[in-house]
Amino acid sequence: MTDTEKIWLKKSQEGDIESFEKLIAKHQRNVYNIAYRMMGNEEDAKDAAQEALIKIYKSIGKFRGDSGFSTWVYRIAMNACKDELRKKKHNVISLDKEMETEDGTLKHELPDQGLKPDELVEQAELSETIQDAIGKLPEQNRMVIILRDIQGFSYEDISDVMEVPVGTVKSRISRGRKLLKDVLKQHPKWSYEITV
Amino acid sequence: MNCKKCNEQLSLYLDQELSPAEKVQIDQHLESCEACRKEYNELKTVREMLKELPMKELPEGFEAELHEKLVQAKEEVQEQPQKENMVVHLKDHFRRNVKRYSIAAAACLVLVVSYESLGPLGMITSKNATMEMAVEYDDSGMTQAAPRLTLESSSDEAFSDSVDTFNLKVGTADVDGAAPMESEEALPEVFAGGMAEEPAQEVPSVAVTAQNAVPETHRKIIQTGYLSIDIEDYDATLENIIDMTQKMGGYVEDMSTQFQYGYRTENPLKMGHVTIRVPQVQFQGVMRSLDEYGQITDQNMSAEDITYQYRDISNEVANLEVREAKLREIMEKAEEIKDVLQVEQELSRVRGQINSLKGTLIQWDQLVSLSRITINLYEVESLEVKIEPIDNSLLTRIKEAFIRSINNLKYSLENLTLILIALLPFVIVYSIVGFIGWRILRRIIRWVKNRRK
Repeated sequence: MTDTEKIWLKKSQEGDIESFEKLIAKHQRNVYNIAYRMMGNEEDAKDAAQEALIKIYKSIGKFRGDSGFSTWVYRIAMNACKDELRKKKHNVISLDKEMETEDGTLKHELPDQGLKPDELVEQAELSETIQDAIGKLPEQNRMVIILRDIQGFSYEDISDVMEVPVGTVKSRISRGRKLLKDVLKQHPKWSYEITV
Repeated sequence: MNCKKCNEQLSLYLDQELSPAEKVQIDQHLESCEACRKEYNELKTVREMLKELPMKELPEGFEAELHEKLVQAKEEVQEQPQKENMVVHLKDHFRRNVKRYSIAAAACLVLVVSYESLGPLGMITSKNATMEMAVEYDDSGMTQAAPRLTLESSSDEAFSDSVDTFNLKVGTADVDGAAPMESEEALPEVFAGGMAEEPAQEVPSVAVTAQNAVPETHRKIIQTGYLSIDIEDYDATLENIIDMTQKMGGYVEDMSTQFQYGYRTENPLKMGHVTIRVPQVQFQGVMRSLDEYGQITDQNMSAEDITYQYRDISNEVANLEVREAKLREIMEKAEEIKDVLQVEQELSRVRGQINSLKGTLIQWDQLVSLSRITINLYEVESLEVKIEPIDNSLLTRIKEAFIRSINNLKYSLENLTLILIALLPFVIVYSIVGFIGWRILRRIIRWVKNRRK
C-alpha cells in the first residue's frame, strides 16, 4: 500500500466517499469481473459488485490492516457474491424438472442457438460456453478457478482471500479444472480448440 | 510414479507449484505415459482458455450508481453513528480488561463490606479528604484562560521558522473566535519592534492577546460550564441559584439531591447537582457570581464555535429554498400527471431536507442563546478547616467499633450454633444410614474374601 493509499484509507474510515472511490478505483473492475464470472450475467454481476463495494465502504472502519487491503476487498467481494447467489437460488427454474400441468407435463426448452460461421461470433460463443461451464462448477471450485485462472492470484493469496489452508486451495483448483475439462469436452468445439 | 499420483499433481505441475524433485518425476512419467500426457494437454488447454477470457469493462454508469449508493450508505451509517461505535468500543474495552474489572469489583465489594461493618469509622478519612481538597485549591489558577498568541524565538535563524508558526497560530485563533483583523494588524508592528531593538540578540517573547476584539454577536458559540462548590447551607444555596436563574430568564434543566454517606441523624450533609440554562450574555457573570456561595473546588468552561457549520447549513437551506421555488415554477408549468407526480415527489424530498436542516439550526440557536452550566454542590460542616480534638471522638469511636466487632462476633457464633443445631436431624439420620451401609458393605467384602479362599 502506498502512502497516498494510506491517506485515502484513513479518510475513507472517517466516511469520506471521494477518498473511498479513489481507494477502490483500481480494484472495482476486478471485483466486477469476479462477480461477473461468479454470477454469470452482467446485471447480477453489477448488483453483486456494488453490493460488495458498499459493504466494503460500510465496514472499512473495521479494517485493521492485519491482512492486505486487496485480499480483504476480494474476500468481501466473494462473500457478497455467495450471498447474492444464495438469494437468487430461490428464483431459479430448473431446466431438468418437468412441470406438471393438467394437460400433461411441460418441459422447459431453451432455443437452439446453433453455430454461426462468423469467426467473431465464434469467439463470443466460446467465451459464453466457458462461462456456462464455470457456472456449472460447485461454488467452492468456481471461486478458486476464477481467482487462479482468470484473475491470476497466487495460491497463497487465494488461501488468504478464502480463509482456507493452501492445501485445500490446491485440491479445489485441481478438482475444479478437471470438472471444467469434463464439461468443456462435451462441447462440439472442443476438438477444434485442442488442435489450435 | 503411477498414473493416479501423477493425475493428482498435474494441476500443481501446471502452475509450477511442485518441488524440483517432484517436477522431474512428473516429467519422466509424462514422457512414458500417453494417457497422462493427454490429460495434461487437456488441462493446459482449459487453463489457457480461461486465461484468454477477456476482462469485462465496467458497465456504463457503474461508478455514478455506486456513488449514489455510497451517499445513501453514508447517511444510513450516520443516522446511528457514535452510539453504536461507543457500545462496541466499550464492549471491546471491557473484554480486554475483564480481569482488571473483576479485581476492581472484588475490591469494591470488600470495601463496601468493611464499610458496612465498621460504620462511621471509615468515614473519617473520606471527610478529611474533602476538606484538604478545599484548602489546596488556589483561586488564581481557575480564572478563564484567554486565547493567546505567543511568539518566542531564541536566535536569528529560528526567527524565520517562528514566523511560520506565528502565522499558523493566527489562523488557529481565527477559527477559535478571536478577531483575525486585529491580530494581523498587530503582526508587523510586533516584528518591526523586535527586529529593530535587538537584531542579533534574543527576540523578546511577545504575547499578542487577541480577545475582546469584536463583539461576538455574529459568532455562534455554544458555551458550557462546569463547577463544583463546597457550601455550608445546601438548601439555601440551591434556592438562591434557582432564583437567580429564573430572574435572568433561564431555567433549571436538571437537578438531583441526596445525602452524603447515607442519612444519619446528627447533622446530615447533602450533596447534589443542578444544571441550569442561562442567557449567553450572562454566562460569564453567573460563573463568577457562583464563587460567592462557597468554595469552588473545580471549574471548567468550554466554548464550541459552530459558526462555520452553522453558515454551511444556512447556505444549504438557502440553496434548497431556491430549488424549491424553481420546482414550484416547474410544477405550475407541468401538464401531464406523470410530470406533476415526479415534481411533487422531488418537491417533498426537498421540503423534507429543508425542514430537517432548519430543525438543526433552531436547536443550535437554542444551545447558543442559552448556555448550560452544571453545578455540583457539596455541603460541608464548615468551610474553615478545624482540627478536631482527638481524645473524645477517636477514643469513643474505637470503643464503639470494638464493641461492634464483639457484637458481630457474638452474632456470627450464634448463627453458627443455630445452623449446626438445625442440621442435627439430617446428621443423625444420615449417619445411622451410613453406619448400617458401611457394616453391610464390610460384611459383604469379608464374605467375598472367604469364598475366594
